[in-house]
Amino acid sequence: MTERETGYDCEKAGAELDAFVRGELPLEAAGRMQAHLVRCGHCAQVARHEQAFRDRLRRLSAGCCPDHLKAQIVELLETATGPDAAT
Amino acid sequence: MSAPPAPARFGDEALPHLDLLYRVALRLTGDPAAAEDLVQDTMLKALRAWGSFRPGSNARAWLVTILRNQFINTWRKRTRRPTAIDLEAIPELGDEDNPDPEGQFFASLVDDEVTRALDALPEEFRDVVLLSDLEGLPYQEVAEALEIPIGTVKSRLFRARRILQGQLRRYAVETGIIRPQEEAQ
Ligand SMILES: [Zn+2]
Repeated sequence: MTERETGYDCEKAGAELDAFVRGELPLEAAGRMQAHLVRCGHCAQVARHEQAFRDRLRRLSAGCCPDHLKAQIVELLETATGPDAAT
Repeated sequence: MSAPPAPARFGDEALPHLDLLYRVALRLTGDPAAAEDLVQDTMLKALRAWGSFRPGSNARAWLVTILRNQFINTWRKRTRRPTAIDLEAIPELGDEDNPDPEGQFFASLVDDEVTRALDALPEEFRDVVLLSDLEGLPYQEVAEALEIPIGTVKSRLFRARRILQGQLRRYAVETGIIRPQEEAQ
């Protein structure tokens, strides 16, 4: 089916774009989006813009729980619930 | 009725999320020592509330909810937050006059700039971006963690992203990452 037949246009694509960039669109919808992006330069550009933004934000997420804190918490759980709790 | 979860399962469910909890705590408090205390408090609180955890539901979202409530109830009083930006004063990103429509400038921004823009968001916007964009939680988990409908998650995300993008773009223009002559086309 063509986009004309399904009525899938830039407005519908735009509404699903955020979910698409997050990988949260169901398979069928993602396929429909991909087909639209191949054909539509405008939406493809918006998609790249949103992806670049998301990539930049994701880079802010760095760092781990410090080892000493992990150890403290494991110990705390053992004390509270017995040695099986933290395994 | 299902049986309450065995205490021994708590560690299995909770410990894998320590890194995430610590990162969120650090982002909320802005201070490593405070973040450690907040994570510890959260784990204690979660352990005590473990009996009310529904087996099979999402432990990660549940733990984030506890952490965030703990932060709001005790920590926020002690933490000075920067003044929130005036939302109306932020020009949103328009399609027409955008000199970098693919957002290549985002990659050139340093962490401090992005962090400042993020921290200046009103809390309800900042928190959805934090969980959804930084930490990559799906809509559903963000909704559970923040105890808001999924539609609210999506609308807040949409608005927050536009505000942030406008803010960062303005910053990119000011610092010359996006050139003024391109801006003035
Ligand atoms: Zn389109």
